Amino acid sequence: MKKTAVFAILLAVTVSAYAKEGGTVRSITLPVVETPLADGEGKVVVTSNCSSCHSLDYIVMQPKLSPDAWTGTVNKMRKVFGAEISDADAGVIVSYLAMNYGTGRKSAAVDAPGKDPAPKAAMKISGEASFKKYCNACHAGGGNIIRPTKTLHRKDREANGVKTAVDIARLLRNPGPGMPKFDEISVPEAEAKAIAEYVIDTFK
Amino acid sequence: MADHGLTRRGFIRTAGVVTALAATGKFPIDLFAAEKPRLIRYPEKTDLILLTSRPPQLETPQRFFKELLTPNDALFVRWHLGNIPTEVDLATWRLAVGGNTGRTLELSMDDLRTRFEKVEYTAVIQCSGNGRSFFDPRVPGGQWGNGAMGNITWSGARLKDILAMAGVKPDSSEVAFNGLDGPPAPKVPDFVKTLPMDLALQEDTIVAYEMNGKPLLMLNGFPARLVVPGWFGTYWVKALSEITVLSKEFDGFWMKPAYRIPDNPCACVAPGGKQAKTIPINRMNTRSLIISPESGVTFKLHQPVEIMGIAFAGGYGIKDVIVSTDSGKSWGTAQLGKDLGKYAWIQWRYPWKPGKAGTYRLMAKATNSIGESQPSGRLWNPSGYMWNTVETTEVVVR
Repeated sequence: MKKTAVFAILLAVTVSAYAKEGGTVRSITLPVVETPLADGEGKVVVTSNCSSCHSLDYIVMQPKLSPDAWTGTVNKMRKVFGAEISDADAGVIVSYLAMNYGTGRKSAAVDAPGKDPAPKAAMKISGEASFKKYCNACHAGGGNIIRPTKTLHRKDREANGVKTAVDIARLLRNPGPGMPKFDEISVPEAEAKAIAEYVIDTFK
Repeated sequence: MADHGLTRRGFIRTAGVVTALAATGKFPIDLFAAEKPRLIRYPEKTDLILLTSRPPQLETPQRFFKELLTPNDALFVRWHLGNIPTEVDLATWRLAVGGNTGRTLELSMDDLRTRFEKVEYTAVIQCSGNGRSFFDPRVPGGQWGNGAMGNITWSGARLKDILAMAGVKPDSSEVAFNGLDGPPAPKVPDFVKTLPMDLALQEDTIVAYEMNGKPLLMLNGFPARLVVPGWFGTYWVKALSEITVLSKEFDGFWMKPAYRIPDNPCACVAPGGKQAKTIPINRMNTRSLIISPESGVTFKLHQPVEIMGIAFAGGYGIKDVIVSTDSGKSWGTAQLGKDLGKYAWIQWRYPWKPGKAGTYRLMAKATNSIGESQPSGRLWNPSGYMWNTVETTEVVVR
């Protein structure tokens, strides 16, 4: 995931001045907001085609869509909204969007956000397996690749006020800076508890 | 916006990204700052959450919902087409009324204000896609949290009085509304909405020229907009310029296939499924939201907490709001605040004194005066409309 893809920083925000108040004319000047797109093959084609009708934050705002969903969106722009996008450009646009603002390859689509969480509840919960799935990328071996002073080892945990399994489970729901949140749709309460207990038992 | 970093919006959005990345086993560092709301100040507005800039879609931050009436400058903004009106001269602006009528009208703002009785009431305006970002599976479209709504006192002329002046012919079936906004390219369908005749002639459907006692803001539809209380905002056409009475069904894009919902009582299909038979989206369903505390707040043990929120329904008023502080296991009745009428939202309060440390999941559920309530499970439709699931605010007591 490219930095620009997730940040979408507002650049060159020009807040307008109002004119001609009091008379019969009311007017505003709209700000110009630039949303940088992720660098990638086809970026120029996307920028030139899409931004002729709408700002590029329309792209950045979307959830990660499957290639089929992006194809549907581009087709809608062409067929319903009459956007004059050539067949060649449409292909480039779809693959850029799928790669940079989508689930990428088709095989990834089945694991996209929104898979039904129900079967997970029925599975046997293993703190170790869940830790490896959700935490290991940043906390392998109990470390912390983002904030090195905040490891999962007891000494660091206690220095940071994280003493019990409840504290750890709470951190999953309301993490400090640098850590993503894990809500109960992706990590149900029982699984959060199992992860927390695994951390306590493992990183002494 | 630091004090709103823990809204449900950010909470659930981030979770969605996390689920996707969990599959790849990688968590890029960039992820962590990804879902902070981007604030922006548009002309005549205060700092709002930027969804899109052209055309503008701006969302109201949650803290403004602590107020009974939403301040004009904080009301959300949602336009559909790239060419939105940025200048209106009341000396030349006219509201044209015609079509299947005895005569045509060209009404000035003075005409609207002086030739028709002025009516006033408070009504919730809510975007059809309010809460879309909470849908699971996620759906494309404007990724609103809960800030595409507001409670505003509207004033204007009754549509039925305007139509009576024009003389509606007996075989008329619906009325079309067009505004000053225009397509950014020649083939893009213009934003035109229609109302069935009975709703157009209903007492409370108005052409509003004031919000909270002031002229409309440009981005909220100056100089006049349709107000269809109880119905979703898509019909509340902004910067109104043309009213056309029709004798047959209108099939423009923004009525069909856009803004359609599954034709069943829950307006829902199996998550991820397709909708077969559809109808135009219409009356709002019942909702309640916990406004304070916000998710992620920590309280001291035995500290008294006032849980506060709002509730509204599609034109039927709120009968009661029940609140749970234990993940929905038990419920108590909230105290309702001042009643501003059946179209307005009502504030509710629920005192709570947590007696045990831990994480608490607070919930609120409203029922309207005809028994319509909110689902506990998630309902889903492909367009992400009519979100009204019972939501959870998670707080910590220690």
